[in-house]
Amino acid sequence: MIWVSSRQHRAETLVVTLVLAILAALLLKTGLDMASAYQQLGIGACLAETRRSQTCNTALYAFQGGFSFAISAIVWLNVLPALLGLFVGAPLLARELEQGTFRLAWTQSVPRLRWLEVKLALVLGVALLASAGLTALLTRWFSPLRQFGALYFPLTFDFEGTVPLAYAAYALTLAISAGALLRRVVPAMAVTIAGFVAARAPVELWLRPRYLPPITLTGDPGKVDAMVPKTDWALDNGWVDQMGHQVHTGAVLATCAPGQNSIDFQGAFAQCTHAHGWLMSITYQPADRFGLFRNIETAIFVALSVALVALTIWIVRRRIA
Amino acid sequence: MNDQALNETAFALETTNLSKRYGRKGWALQDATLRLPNGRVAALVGPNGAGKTTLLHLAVGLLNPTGGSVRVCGFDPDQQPKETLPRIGFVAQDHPLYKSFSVADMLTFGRKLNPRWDDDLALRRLQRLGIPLKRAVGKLSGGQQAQVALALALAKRPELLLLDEPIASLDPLARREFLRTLMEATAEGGLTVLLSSHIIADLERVCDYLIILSASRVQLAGEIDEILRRHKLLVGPRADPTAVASVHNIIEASHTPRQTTLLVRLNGVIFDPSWEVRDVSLEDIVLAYLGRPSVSEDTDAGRSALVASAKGSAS
Amino acid sequence: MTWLTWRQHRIEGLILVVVLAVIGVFLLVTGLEMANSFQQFRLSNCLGQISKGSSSCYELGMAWNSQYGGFLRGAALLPALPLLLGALVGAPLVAQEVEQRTHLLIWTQSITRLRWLTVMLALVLGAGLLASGALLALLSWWNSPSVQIYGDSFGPRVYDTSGPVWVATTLLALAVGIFAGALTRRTVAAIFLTMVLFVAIRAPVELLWRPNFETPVTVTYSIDQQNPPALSNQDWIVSQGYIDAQGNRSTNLREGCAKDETLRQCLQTNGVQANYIAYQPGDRFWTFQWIEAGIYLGFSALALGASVWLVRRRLS
Repeated sequence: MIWVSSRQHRAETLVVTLVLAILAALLLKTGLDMASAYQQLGIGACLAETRRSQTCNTALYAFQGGFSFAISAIVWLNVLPALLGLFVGAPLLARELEQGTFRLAWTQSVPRLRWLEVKLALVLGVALLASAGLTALLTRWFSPLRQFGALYFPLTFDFEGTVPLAYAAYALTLAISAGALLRRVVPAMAVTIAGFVAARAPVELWLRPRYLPPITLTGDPGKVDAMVPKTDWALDNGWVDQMGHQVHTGAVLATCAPGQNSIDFQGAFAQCTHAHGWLMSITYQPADRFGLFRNIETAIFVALSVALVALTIWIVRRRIA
Repeated sequence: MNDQALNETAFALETTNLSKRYGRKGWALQDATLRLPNGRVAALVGPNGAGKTTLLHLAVGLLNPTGGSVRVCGFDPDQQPKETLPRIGFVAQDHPLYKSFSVADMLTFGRKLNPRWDDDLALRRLQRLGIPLKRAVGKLSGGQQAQVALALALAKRPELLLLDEPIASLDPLARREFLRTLMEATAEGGLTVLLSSHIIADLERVCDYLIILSASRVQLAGEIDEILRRHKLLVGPRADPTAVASVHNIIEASHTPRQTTLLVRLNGVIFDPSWEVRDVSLEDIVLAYLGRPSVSEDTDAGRSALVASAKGSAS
Repeated sequence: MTWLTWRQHRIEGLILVVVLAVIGVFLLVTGLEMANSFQQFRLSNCLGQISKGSSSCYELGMAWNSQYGGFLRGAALLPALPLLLGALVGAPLVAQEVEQRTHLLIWTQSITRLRWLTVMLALVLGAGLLASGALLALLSWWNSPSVQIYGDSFGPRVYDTSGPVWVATTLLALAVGIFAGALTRRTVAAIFLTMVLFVAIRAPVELLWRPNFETPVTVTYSIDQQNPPALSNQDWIVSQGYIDAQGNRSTNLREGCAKDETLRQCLQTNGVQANYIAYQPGDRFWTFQWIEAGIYLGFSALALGASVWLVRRRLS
């Protein structure tokens, strides 16, 4: 059964291995480059400075500029789970159903469910293993950037710990169940893409900031800004009046800093806002909650995956002629 | 002779040294030379892999020849598709259809893509067979799908109908129904049929022309009446077949210690009284040809090889 | 033939319309909100003085980012839409026909293979044209506030979804998809090949060629100058860094700076004579768009030509 599966899917396995190997090589190279540049330019010490010197700013600029391309390229790794679903998950059942070969596969000596179990276990197992390896690599890759606090926040969350594995499991199981339901490969692929985006986007953009109620601090600009450490995840940055009603940032800037190049939170700006009774309000999630958030998000996608596996098993057992 | 004076289009299908090779994989068809006269119902028989599908696909322009030429109703199917395609009707192996289309959709398909389309013909046929027009083709039985494919091909009003193993996947009832439909269509006249099969028994009733393809070569081609007349079984006491082989073509020989049986293609009369001459069934003739070593009769080397094998087969 | 193309692909057509509608609604709703917000921000007047690299409107940028950063990140995926169209609609066009053996049926009706392919190409490419065109105006309008704040009109999120390039990449993806299908004749392999080819064409053009469609304008300034010369916010900085005594350019300092050095000392130790900025002026945007669109159309023509050759000569 294992031999049959690996023989059937050897083309995909080959391609996936190749892609992962190339990816790993690229990550290694750029990661090492970034780590050494970090050392050379003294970024660590630089970030610790409260008042940044010109040399520090230059160094920061050079560092961030030099690697901005690599960082924006990394963002595209978010599509990897979807690709996995597309090329490994969608054809898994759909191709057999579309071409009728399931009639051959399911009348061998291995009962239908066992066949499915073994396939699922193999495919998920290998996928999770590969994801774990890639995640480990990415976690190391991100270590210089983590010193910047939550500046690169979504990335460092999405590619760390158990979260990427949960994404991979979800994409795979979604694709496999779509294949079982629709019985045709291309529609299963379309559903996979739609379902992956439809789950990831709302969870990341809407649910994740709210796993626990965020903390809001209001006060004078200078004070509030200092109270929120750089490592924490700033969600929203706004202004409220004495009654707690929202004031549009544009209005505040127009009144207290019209046409100005830069704003000093201590000086005249702060006096102006104080005079108008405006308070700066920062809503944020503290960094010590990140671990919990990761677990919550992992749990969400694992729960979805489990439900999808159950759906697949039900379909295979009951519905297919 | 007289043939040369006739119009080119006296032959529905004409191939001259037609050959097809797939890359390094070897020859699918070699030096096939055929002249299928108009109005015949021809059977193309041979084992799997003999080149039947290749020959049919060359005839309808799905393949282009590696060597030689093919002409359908006088036109080159590869170079002149605009003239050839309206004149042919083709049903490929396993009668491919658009599974998600309804039967009515398939008729619309035919109507839109063929200038000479007889919608009534198709409708009448399908109605008589009780095939529901609204149902999706994928939900029909194998026999019904084959009938739909045949109706589509016939409604094109072709001059030459080519069918690739049309009855292979049909049950006996569906098979008989299909052949009956075919006979009716040919009875209306103006149609030449070439159908390939590896089941010979059914074809004998329906066909009047036979082409035997084996190991990518044409082994035999001709009118069935003529073939039956020219092939005889010679039974006699154990003897060396060389004498017979010098005049006639020995197709198959078998020897027991006391008896020799030869299946020959006669090139004249048997004078030797020690041979008893019997008729042979078409099926036995075909099997004999298929069992022969794959050499060409047109070369000396081929001929001697055939003689040697005739001598050598002892039972 | 028109009827057949429609009948075969009508479900894909409907899904395309639905997807377009969903995206359209998303763009409309979020775009209105952003436009509203932008009006409010306009009052701060700093937009009029905003220039590249300066920290003016910093607050504005931060506020905008915190409110709409999510949408903007999501919108970064929009340039992938043409690829999806090409992979899921273009690639199966020929591949599925051969994989499911219906090519034996359709290519023995009374139309030639060439006619079959050209009619299908015309209809599918036409549909792609319409679909991308439908979103075009909406996308420009949606991007406009962010572009005025960030000045990233040459960045992928904006550039790839603007004007001629947006339409040309849609056609490219479809053409490459059809070619991949004609070449591999198997649907999953064709979809994969489409993605590989599309990225293989787009990435070098976007990353290597685009910054150099026209020679960038270079500005040098001395190391004594604290701030770089002001550029318009819509300009695109292609590279910046240091020039040494020999006139060689580099984007990194050879040795880095010591902690207590001033900037000037640091640059001198590193052998830097002057700073430079190489940029593409913002008014070259549309020229670049047409150049790049032309490149993609060229590739599309290649792919389509190859497809025609494959279908006529090689298949079956």
